[in-house]
Amino acid sequence: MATELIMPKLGLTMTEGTIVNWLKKEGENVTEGEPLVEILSDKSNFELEAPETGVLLKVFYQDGAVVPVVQVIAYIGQPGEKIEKVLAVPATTQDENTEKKEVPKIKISPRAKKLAQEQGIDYQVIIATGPDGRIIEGDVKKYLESMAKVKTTSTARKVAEDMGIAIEQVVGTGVSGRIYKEDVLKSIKEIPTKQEEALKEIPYTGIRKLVGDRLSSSKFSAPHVYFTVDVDMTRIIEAREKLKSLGAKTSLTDFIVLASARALTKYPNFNASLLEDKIFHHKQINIGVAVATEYGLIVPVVKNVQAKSLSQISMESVDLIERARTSRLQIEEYKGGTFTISNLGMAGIDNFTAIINPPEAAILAVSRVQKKPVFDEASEQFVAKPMMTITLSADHRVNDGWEAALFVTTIQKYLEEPLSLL
Amino acid sequence: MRKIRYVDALIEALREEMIRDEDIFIIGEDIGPFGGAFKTTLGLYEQFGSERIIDTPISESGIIGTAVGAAATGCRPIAELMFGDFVTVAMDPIVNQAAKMRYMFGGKLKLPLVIKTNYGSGRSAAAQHSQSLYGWFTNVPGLKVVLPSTPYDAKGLLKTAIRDDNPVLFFEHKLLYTVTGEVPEEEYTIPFGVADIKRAGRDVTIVATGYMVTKSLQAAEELAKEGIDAEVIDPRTLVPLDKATIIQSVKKTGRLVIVDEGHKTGGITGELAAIVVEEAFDYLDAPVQRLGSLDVPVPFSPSLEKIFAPSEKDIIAAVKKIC
Amino acid sequence: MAANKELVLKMYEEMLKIRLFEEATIDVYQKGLMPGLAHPYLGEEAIAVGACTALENDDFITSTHRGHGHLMAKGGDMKKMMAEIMGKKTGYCKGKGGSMHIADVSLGILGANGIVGAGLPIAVGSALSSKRKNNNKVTACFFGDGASNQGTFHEALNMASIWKLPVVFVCENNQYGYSTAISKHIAIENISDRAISYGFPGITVDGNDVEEVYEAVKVAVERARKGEGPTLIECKSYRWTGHSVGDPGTAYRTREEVTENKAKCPIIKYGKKLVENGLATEENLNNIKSSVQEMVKEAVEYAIASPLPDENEIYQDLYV
Repeated sequence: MATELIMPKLGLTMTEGTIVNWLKKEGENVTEGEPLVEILSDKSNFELEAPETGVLLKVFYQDGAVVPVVQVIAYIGQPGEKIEKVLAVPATTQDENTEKKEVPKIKISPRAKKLAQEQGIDYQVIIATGPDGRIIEGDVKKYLESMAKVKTTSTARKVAEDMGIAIEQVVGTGVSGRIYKEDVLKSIKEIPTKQEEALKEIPYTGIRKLVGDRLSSSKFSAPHVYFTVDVDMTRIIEAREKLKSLGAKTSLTDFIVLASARALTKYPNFNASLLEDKIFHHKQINIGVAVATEYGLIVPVVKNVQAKSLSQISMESVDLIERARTSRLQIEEYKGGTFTISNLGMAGIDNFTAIINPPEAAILAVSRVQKKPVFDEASEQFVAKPMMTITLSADHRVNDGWEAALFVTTIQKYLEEPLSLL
Repeated sequence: MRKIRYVDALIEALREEMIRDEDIFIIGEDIGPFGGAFKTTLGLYEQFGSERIIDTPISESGIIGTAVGAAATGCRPIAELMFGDFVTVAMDPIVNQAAKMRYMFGGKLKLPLVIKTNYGSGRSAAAQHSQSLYGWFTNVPGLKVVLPSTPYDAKGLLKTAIRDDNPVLFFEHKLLYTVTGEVPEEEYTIPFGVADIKRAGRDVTIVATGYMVTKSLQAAEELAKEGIDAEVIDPRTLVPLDKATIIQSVKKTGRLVIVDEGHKTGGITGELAAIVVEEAFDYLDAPVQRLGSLDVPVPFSPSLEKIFAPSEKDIIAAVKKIC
Repeated sequence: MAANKELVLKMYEEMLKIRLFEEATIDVYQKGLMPGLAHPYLGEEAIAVGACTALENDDFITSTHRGHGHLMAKGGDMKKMMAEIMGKKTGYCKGKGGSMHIADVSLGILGANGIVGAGLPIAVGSALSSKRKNNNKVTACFFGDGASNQGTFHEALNMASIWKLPVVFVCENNQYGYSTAISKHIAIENISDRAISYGFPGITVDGNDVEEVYEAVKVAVERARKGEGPTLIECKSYRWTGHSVGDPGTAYRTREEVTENKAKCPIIKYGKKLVENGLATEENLNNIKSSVQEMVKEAVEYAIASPLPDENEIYQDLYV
């Protein structure tokens, strides 16, 4: 009997998955363990592997289809083998055509519709006044009257219709404001088209929805408090340069990860989770590093940071970030974080606050490094120093303000004295 | 013009036709010297005698079957059922005999037969003496179904029914018997299959049957005060049905409310709505509204009976819903 | 009776016509030439012939689902009957009625009827019509033992009695209502006993004896014409076949019972009597048989050769 391939459920929150790309075609041979199809879950992309060797007998959903979990998406078996009939749950594809169907139907009475058709009017532009928001004959007539008031040549009207321009908005240059074809063409840039193409609809699903839902839940349930300090990055920059000259490539984020891990060891209330009526201190320090990708925000997690050296952190980060950007992360690689660092320095941000990634208890927002005048106590004058603003968002239910201040200044000290990290 | 009662218009039609044609006789329960339970034959026995105003035993099936046999052999009987509800006891002679004989026999005979009875709620007569069952017979080809709503229509349509060579079911509303209206003294008949526009209007078409015509006209007057100009159409005969007048009106107004005293489910309102949707869909400017009696047996108590059939208020609400 | 040689030979011939026509009907059915079904009158020929011989040409009859015999005895045209049974355009009803609904008002036949007991009130109406028109016509109402249990039987007999209508109720007691034996649906010995409750005479005669039926109906018709009211005549007979052509009739009765009753064949019995009484020779009877056989053969050939109704005829004949 043919083996069924289902849309796997990857975590409690996943209810549907998107088929991004079939790597094999119907009828092609497949080998056990070979990637078959790329799937986008609500968290990330993954590759579904062939469960056995055989032929991809039947594919029920094509690229772009959104399929409920555990639904059979394909069959693998021997050539010519009969497959069981599958009652396919209709997929909601994300291509444009399907989305149009979901647009609420414009209610129009048969009588009004007929009149609109006879007059060659696109009734979508008509304002409805009938019961239940239905366009009725009177509405079409009113529209026709307003149209009749517009003096225009038939060519101009035709051009306007073809271009989807509301002709009554075109300024006519002829006698008593008659509109000519040229007027219509001139107005193309100025007048919004009837179809309102500017209002592009993007479905609020998948990663976008997951991230959105989680963030709003976090923001509304966890009272956030913010603590901002400026960090003098002089020594870190020097250290990076030195390491670079020794052939070791590190990023500022790697240093921040390490510094945060050290501070978290001292202040476990920030490496914690509030779950129902208990606060849990995590034994491991797993730091998520937020990465912007074209699919949205992905947070790969560097695990067991408390036991790792800077170079280990660095190597792992490079790999994780690269694979996050190309949607090749394994599920476990973006799970299990206990603290998060969001670095928007590369984007040139001076300062920002981040929303805690639940069930974590804090997040560190890192901004860009830029030279600022700093008053130097020793020389009693302003000197230019590479400064970086970091802002801690802490869940005030789990930790106190004083403690948070100590925690964030501890990170500051580690960063200003990188040798203390070693 | 003189004004007479609906029941007197009916008796006048019977009398005039019986004088005109010796083959006509009336057969039914308590219609002789007693004059009928609703006094619909009052005075006829005295004029025409027991040979032509024939009192029967309580045998509805026998009455209608007898009338069928007499009609098949050259008489023009008018059979009266005391209550419209009693058609159930005479279903076989109506449905299997009268309606089908001409067709089954390849056009070999004609059945000039009128079955005359009443219908309708409003008199606390309860579930077995108040029904409006005429809709059933529109589902039996071979019969004609007539529902006069005014004294004028009652007389003109009854004369046509008596002169028709087919079986005709003639339904009179109990609450209309005492209603008066203009009826000319001179001879007239009203053809079947010609609807009457009881009130012309522009905004909405109300198709109403029998007693519901009265209610709809009252509703139309109320609506006029609010600026809604309703057209009230009375089909007068359900078989044959004047589709053209209804369709024409809907083409004008774009809105249709159907009011009938039969039950809403499986009744005339559904049939009329379907016809309009089939034949004038493009002219509708709003969903068709149907008002029928509630889908329960006719209740006895006045507090319940008054909400059973469509009221003037219901009609106004239905119109406003789409205007 | 015995004196009228022409009449007795006519009755013999009429019975034979019904017999051979019904045998042909069964044959036609079995050959798949007939749609639907038919209810054969085999074994009951003496009732229709005896009763209709007692009627004038313009008298009326109402018939039943088992009506071929009544129609034939009242003068029905064999060709038109067979054509109707086959659903042909040339049939009595232009193919719209079939076996169960053959009518010919010009012969006073107000129709066979598919509803058991429905003909009783119609016969009362026809009789009422005759009384109103004072035209001296009588209506013979044929119905079965089964129909005597319908409410219409009671309503019709009562109304006919109170108005003293010229109607003769001819009950054909063929012992079965479909598969139900009379012992199971009627508790009295003679259905004619029911007449007493309506206040008019009721008698029971041998339905296998055509002259006995004829004599009884003749008396009843005279009584009716004189304005003395209705009569109920029960003719005890036997249904040779099953209920209809599709029913072998063996599931609810024994072969012995059928054989025993077939031995009382009204036609053979009457033929013997005619020969014994010197009213006919064997040769006479054989000649009659040959001519009837030829008649039936022609009717079947006519019906087979006739066209079916055109589709555009479907709406015709509904209303006048």
